[in-house]
Amino acid sequence: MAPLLTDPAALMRIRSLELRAKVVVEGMWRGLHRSPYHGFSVEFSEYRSYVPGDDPRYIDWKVAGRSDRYYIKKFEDETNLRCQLVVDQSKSMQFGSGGFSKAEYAATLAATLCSFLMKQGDAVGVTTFAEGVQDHVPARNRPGHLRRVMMELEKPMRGSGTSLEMSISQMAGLLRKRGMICVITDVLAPVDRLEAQLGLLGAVGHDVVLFHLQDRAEIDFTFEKAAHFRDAETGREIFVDPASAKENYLKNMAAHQALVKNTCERLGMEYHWCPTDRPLELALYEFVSNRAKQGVRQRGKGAAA
Amino acid sequence: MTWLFPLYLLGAGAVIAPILLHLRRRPPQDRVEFSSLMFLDASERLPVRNRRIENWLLLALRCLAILLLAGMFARPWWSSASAMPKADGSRWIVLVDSSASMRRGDMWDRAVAVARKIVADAAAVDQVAVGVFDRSVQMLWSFDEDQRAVSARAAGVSQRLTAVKPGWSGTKLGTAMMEAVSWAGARDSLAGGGKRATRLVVISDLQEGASLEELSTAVWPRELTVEFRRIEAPDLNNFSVQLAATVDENVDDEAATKVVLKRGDRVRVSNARGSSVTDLALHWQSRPNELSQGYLPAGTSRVMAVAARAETDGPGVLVLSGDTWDFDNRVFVAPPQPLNVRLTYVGEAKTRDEAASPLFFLSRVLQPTPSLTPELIVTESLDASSLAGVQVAFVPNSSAAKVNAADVKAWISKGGLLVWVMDDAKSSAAFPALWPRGDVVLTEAAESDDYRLLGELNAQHPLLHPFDDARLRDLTKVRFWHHRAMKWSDKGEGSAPEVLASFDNQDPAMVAASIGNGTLLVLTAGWHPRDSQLALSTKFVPLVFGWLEAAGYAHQEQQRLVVGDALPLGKTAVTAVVAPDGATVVPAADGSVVTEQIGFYKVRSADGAEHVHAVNLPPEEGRVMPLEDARLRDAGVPMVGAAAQESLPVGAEESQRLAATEQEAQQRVWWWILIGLLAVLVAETWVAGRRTPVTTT
Repeated sequence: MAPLLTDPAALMRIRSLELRAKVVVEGMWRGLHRSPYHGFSVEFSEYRSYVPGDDPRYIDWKVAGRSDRYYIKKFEDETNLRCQLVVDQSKSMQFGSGGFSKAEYAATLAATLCSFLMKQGDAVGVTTFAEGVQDHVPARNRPGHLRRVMMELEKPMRGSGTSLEMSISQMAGLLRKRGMICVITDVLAPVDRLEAQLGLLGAVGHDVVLFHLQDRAEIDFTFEKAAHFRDAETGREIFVDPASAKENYLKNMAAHQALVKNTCERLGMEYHWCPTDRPLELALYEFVSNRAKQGVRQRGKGAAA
Repeated sequence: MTWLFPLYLLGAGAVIAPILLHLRRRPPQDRVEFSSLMFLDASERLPVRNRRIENWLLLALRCLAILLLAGMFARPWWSSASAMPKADGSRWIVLVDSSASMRRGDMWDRAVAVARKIVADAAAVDQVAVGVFDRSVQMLWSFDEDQRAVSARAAGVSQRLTAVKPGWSGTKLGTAMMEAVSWAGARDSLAGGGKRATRLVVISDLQEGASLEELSTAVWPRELTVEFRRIEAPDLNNFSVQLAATVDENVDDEAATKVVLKRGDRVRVSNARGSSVTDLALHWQSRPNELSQGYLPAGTSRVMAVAARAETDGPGVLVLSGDTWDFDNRVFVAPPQPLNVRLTYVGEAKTRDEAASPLFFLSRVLQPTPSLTPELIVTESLDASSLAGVQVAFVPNSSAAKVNAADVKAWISKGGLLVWVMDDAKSSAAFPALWPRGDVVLTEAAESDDYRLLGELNAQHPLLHPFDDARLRDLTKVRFWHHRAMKWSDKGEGSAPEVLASFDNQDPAMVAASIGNGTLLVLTAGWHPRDSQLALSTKFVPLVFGWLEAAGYAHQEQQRLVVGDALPLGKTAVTAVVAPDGATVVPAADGSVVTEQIGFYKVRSADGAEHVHAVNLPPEEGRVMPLEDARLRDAGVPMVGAAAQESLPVGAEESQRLAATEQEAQQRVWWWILIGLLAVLVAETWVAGRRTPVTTT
C-alpha cells in the first residue's frame, strides 16, 4: 500500500512543529505496515571463522559438532542508534517560493526524523549551525527529550552565512560517541572544503546522511522579469536578466548538485536530494528504506564490533 | 464612412505613446531576494539600439484601445443616399433688406454682393427668386422669369439689384418672409408635382426693430428652411430721435398744452445698447448754433427739451449729432396748420353780443384750435353769393324770409351742411322748399309748466358722433322750455328724414334730411336760453364741433406720419402732392398718397392752400441692435443654424452638416465603438494580469 502523501505546503500550515512531525510519521507507519524492514532487533547476523583471540563464548558449538569447524556466531548490534540532526539555519535557508521557506521544511524534516527515531527507541540530538555551531542538544532518549528537541528546532533563526566546514569541525569535537549524523542543509557553499570536513566525520566513524534541500525556484529558476538579485547571506546585489542568465544558472546548479552527490558517494555518505515541494513522507521513506539496506551491511560490522 | 468631428482623429496619433512605452524598457528597479548568487552571472543591460518590442499582443490591444477612443470621439457615420439633401431642383428665395437701416456705411453693397453670390452659386436646375423688402416686398426676379431665362439669371438679378437703393421704410421682416413663402406655395400649386426643397435666404442687418409679429401665427411648409445672412454693422454707435408723445392726451392743463403742443420741442432720444458713444447734441437745422447737449448712456433713452421755436418759423428739422450713423438723426416737424372752416349765420350781426341771441353763444363756441380755425360770418341774407366758400350755414326760422331756397338747396346738394333752427313756429316758404318730403307742419308745442328733456338720442349718427362717448351722453341736465312740434308725411321723392333725437314726449328734437351730398339738420328748439339750457350746458361745444366734424372738418391732433403712411388728404380736392425731393407724386387709383421718403410733403388743394406734412422715419428703424437668434426661433422660424455672417459660404454646407449630425445621432456608431473599447480594455487587463511575474517570499 502506497503511503498517503501530504502536500508540504498544506503541512506547513500546521503551526506546531511536533504535530507536523506526528502527521508525517503516522502516515509513514501506516505506509510501512508489514514492512520487512520493521525494527532492528537483537538477531543473528552471520557466521565467521574463529581466529585465535576471539571470545570462545561466541563459538557455535552445534555447528562445531556437525562440521568439526569453529565458527563465531555474529549478532546484530544491540546498542541503540545515536542520531544527531544537524540543521542549517543560515539566511539562505529562509528563501522559499511555495509559501514556506527551506528552513521551515528543514525544521519539519528534522522534527519528523527525530520523532520517528525516538519512537524506535533511538537517541536523537539536534545541532543548529550557520557560520558556526549555534545550539547543540546531545542525543538522548528519555521522556521529554523529544519536546526539548522540538523547542530547539522552533527557535527563531539567527544565523547569516553558511560555513559548513567550520561547523562540522566544531561538531566533530562535540560528538564523541559514534553515531549517525543527519545533515539537513541547502549546501550553498563551495564543496571542495566541505569534502575534507565530511571525510573527517566519516573517518571518526560517524554514519553521515546529507539531506540536500532545494526550493523549486532554485531548481528551475522560475523568474521572468529582470531585476536586481540580492544574495540572502552576503547582501551582494547583481542585475540579472532571467532570459539570458537562466541557462547558465541551471547548468551551474546541476554541476553543483552532481558534485555534492559524487562527493557523498565517494565518502560513503548517504545523499538525499529533497526539493521542498516534495512530500516529506517520501523523504522519510527514502531514508528509512536506505537505512534498512545499509542495516544489512552494518549487521556484520556491528557483530564484528 | 464619414466622420462628424474628423479633427478628433488626430487623437489617434497618441498611439505612439504605448509603442514608445513598450520600446522604452526601463531598467528594472525591482529587487529580488535570492538564496545565493553562487550560480548566477550578472547580466548586461540591453543597449538602446537592441530594444525590441515584447508583448506584441498587449501592445496591439493598447494601440487598438487608443484608436477606438479617437474613432469614438470623431463620431463616425455612414452616409446613405436617401439622407443626403437633394442635389438638384432646390428652390431658392433670396430676400434682401432695403430698409433705412441698410443705409449705414457699405451695408447695402455688402448685402447685394451676398445676394449676387448666392444667385451665382445656384445650380442651373435650381429655381431662384429674388426680392427686396422693407415694409413690403418687391419681387425683382420671379420663378417664372427664372425658368424662362436661366442663363441670364446672374446678370439679370445683378442688374436689378443695382437699380435698387435702400429706402426710408421700417423693416417688416415677418410680412416679407410670409410673402416670400407664398411665392414658393404658388409655385408648388402651379407645378402640381411633388414639393421641392425650398431655402429662403434673408440677407439683412436683422436689427432689433424689425417687426416679427406676422411670424407668430405663421404656418411653415415642411420643405422650407430659412437661412439668415446677417450683414454686420461696423459699430453700433447710434442715437435715434423721435418726437415725444404729445401731452394733450395726458395733460388737461391749458398752460401745459400751450408749452408742449405748440412748440413741439420735446423729443425722445435713445442710445443703442451696444453703443460706445454717450454725448449727443440737438439743434434745429436753421439754427445750428443753438445746441442742446446731453449725455445718454448706452441702452437708455430720455426725453429732452430743445430750443423753443417760433410758430412762424415754418417747417423745422431737428438734427441729432454725436453718433456714427445719421440715417435716423433727423426729426421733421411741421408747423401747426389749422384748417379754415367758413360758417355763416343768417341774422343780425349786432346780436353777436346779446346774451339772449343764439349768435351770442355760437360765436363763442367756435374758437380756433391748433387744427381748426372756424370763421363765422353773419349775413343778412342767404343766397349763392353769401354761400361761396361756406361749409356750414345756420338759419334761424325767424330769418327764413331772407333765404333763397333754390340757391341753398343747390349748395346743400354739393355737400353743405345747413342747420335750421326752429326758434319759432312761423311758416315760411323757404323751409318747405328745402324739406325733401311734403306736408311739413310746424306748430308751437303745447305750453306746460314742466320742461322737456331729450328722451332718445341716436349717437351712432355722424352728426351726433361726439355723444357716442358714454361720458358725454348724460343729457339729463339739458332742459328745454320751449320747442316746436314738427310733423311731416312720407310723400315725396327725397330720402326719408331721420329723427336723431326726440324729447321725452316723443316730439322730434333733431331731424336730419339728406339732400344730394349735403345734409339739412333741423333743430326744433333753439340753444339760446329762451328755448333751452343747451347753449349753457357743457354739451353744446361737442355738439357744434360734431357738426363740423360731420362736415369734414374734424378737430384732431396733427397726425404724425412715418414713412409708409398715407397722407391725410381730407375731403378737399388735391391738385398736386410734392415729395420732399421735389418730385410730384401721382396719387394712387383710390386717391391716396403713400409716403416713401422722410421730409416734408406739400399738398396743394384746389382752393390754393398748401398743407405741409412732416414724414419721419419709423422709430423702430433706429433700434439697430442685432436681433437675437432665439427670438427668430421662438417665432417658429425653421432656421438652419445661427444667423450667419455674410462672409461664410452658402448654407448648403451648413445644411449638410446638420443632416450629418442627425444621421450620426440616429446611427449611434460611437456607442458600438465604446462597447468595443471596453471589451478591448478588459482583454488588455486580462492579458497584462497573466503576464505578471511569479511572486516570491
